[in-house]
Amino acid sequence: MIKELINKIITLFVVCLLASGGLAFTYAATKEKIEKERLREQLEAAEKALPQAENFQEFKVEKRGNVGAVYKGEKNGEVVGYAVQVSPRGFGGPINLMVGIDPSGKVVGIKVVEHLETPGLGGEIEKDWFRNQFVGKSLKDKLKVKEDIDAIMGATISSRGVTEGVREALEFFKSQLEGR
Amino acid sequence: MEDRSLWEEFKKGIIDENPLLFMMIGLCAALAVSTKFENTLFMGGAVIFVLVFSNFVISLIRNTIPTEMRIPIFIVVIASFVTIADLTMQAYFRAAYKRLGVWIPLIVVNCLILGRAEAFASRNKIFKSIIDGLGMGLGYTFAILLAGFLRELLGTGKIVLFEKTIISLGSYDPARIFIMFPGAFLTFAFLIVLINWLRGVK
Repeated sequence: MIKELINKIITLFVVCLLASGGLAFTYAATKEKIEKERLREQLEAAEKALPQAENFQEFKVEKRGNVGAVYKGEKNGEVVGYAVQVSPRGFGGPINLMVGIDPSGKVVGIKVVEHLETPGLGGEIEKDWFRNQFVGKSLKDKLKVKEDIDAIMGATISSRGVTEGVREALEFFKSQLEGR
Repeated sequence: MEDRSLWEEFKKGIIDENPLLFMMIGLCAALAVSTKFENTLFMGGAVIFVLVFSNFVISLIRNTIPTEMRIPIFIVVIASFVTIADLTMQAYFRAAYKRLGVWIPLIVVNCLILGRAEAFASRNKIFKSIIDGLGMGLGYTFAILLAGFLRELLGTGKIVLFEKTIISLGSYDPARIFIMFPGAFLTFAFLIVLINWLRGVK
């Protein structure tokens, strides 16, 4: 009886050991690449959101609400704006957005980094026509779907999510970054 | 159970015992993922990888696992391979990985994988188990590729693969229902009719 029990324990242990070994190996082998890709994605998004900047530096800020990373964009040594990464709630999950804001608090551009919206519906938030609506917006604007922002037909929640995200990025800029 | 030839073990997963369209298992992920053809390519690849490797390992250790512990052990094996697929996609196929989101980890609970482990790999020789996994995986993949192709084409009017539009139906006004939930069921219903016809059942 005991012998069988010990046998079973050993078998389970060995299987788990091998599984963890395989997983640890794969994790270690892919870790760097994954981190590199993540950073590359962020910087690419920052470039699209704030095209006039030539280089970006990660700006250490306390994460607040849905705001994640912030990148200071510079050109010729001067600050041309900030790229704020924000993840508002969408329809299928959080929408990872990069909002480019110039020193006067106006949106320069936005880029959708990652989303789980339905392709063809909420997925249209990636399209130029939708994203360009936010160019030039500031906290002085209403930033409300169906008022100054056109929603995507059949994807109101996704549209609202992006709009709220832009608003949050602008508010974050105002409270934390303006004048820095 | 009669001793089938290797070719028959392989072939059965494709039409006669197609996991999605005949056995109707693993439907949940298939319905969710088939909104875009490109997604189904990667999902299919992941499923084939997990199915073949977990069948292989489970068949390998089938005589050393005590019966009472087989399910937890299957899950450990399957989950490990799914995680390997997940990490690999995260590193090398990031765009598709982001779109597939939670469905990759959910392959662990895809009835197809656990089902083949229990029904076949735990009772058959290694090579045969690999072949079974390959056949079933390909059958699943063909089904979702077809579904993804139809749903994307009819639901958005074009097929976009790796950011290039490879097929476009021009001025066709897309029937958006196909990329929504009812469309998923509709598409699969038609595919089931197709499979039954191919199987010779009228």
